[in-house]
Amino acid sequence: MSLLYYSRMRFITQLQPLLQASTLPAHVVSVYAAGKEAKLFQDDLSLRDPAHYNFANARSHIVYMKTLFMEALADKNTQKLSMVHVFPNLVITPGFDREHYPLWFKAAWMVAAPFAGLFSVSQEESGERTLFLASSRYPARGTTMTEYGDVAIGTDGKRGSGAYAVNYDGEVIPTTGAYEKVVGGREELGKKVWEHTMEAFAEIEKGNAFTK
Amino acid sequence: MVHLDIVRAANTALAKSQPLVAVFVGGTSGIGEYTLRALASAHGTTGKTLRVYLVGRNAASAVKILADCRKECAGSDFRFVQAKDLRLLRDVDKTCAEILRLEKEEEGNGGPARVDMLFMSQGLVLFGGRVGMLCLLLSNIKV
Repeated sequence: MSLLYYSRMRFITQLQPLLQASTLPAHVVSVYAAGKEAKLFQDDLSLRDPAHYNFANARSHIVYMKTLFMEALADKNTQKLSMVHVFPNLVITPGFDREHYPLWFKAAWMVAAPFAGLFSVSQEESGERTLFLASSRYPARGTTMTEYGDVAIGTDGKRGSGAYAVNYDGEVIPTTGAYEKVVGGREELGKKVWEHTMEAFAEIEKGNAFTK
Repeated sequence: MVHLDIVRAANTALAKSQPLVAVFVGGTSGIGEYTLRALASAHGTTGKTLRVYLVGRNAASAVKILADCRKECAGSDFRFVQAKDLRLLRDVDKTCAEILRLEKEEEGNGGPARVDMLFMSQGLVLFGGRVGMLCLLLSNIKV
């Protein structure tokens, strides 16, 4: 979860002074599984309990936490910072041909690869579409001018609110439903995620292991 | 779906609007690389200059990508920032400190020391991530 959540959020907070100095305003784009909120264990955000940890739950937690952390940053950086996390669909990258992958995957990929081209996004288009996420269609909170269609709706359900979950094709993924179901409410969870993440950063900065 | 024409028009307009400082983390292969190439291509010879920091582990790949970008965008500045293990916050902090230092040196060169765009795609090459991508795809197909 480190590379996909803690490490990426740390990049944003560490580069924050430089991002705030941008006149665009600045755009942050994080490529992963936007919109894949599923199970949530509020008392085990970093999935320490082995019974909680599996790929699907890790993905779900990363997406929940990223959404809420980005919303908090959007709120603290009004007119300064826009943040998008994006679901990139299938893009055939060199990531599919690694020597250490299990045999079953290599075999499955050998069978699937000729057909994958039919519904995957080309490398060129993937690059262009990812770059587009830095456009004014996805503005920082409080800056809602765009020439490129409607201003996107943020993860909190409000138009132009600064944090966005976007599909590979540039359209917003509706995610508010998942957060309405959160026990205790999304605001509380947002606070919890912010504190959890900042505590992780602080502990590791001090040279301690973060065990929560 | 946002039409690809709109995407391309917006990208070109962005590159022509002002000098841009962009950071690509995990940009030595995959989607990060394609996004950097899209930016270089949108900029071409008519943009307002770029300053790009490509963060990754694979120096050989970075050298090749950046050489292509330099060819495409004469007068722009493309730099590789070597990372070791970005799972460690220590390495993230070191990388960010390096970008901050390099950017301070450019203070006043096309604007203040800043980052206009930060793209992050590190970690997607892990096996879990990839299979996850396949599963994601399958779960997305609507019959």
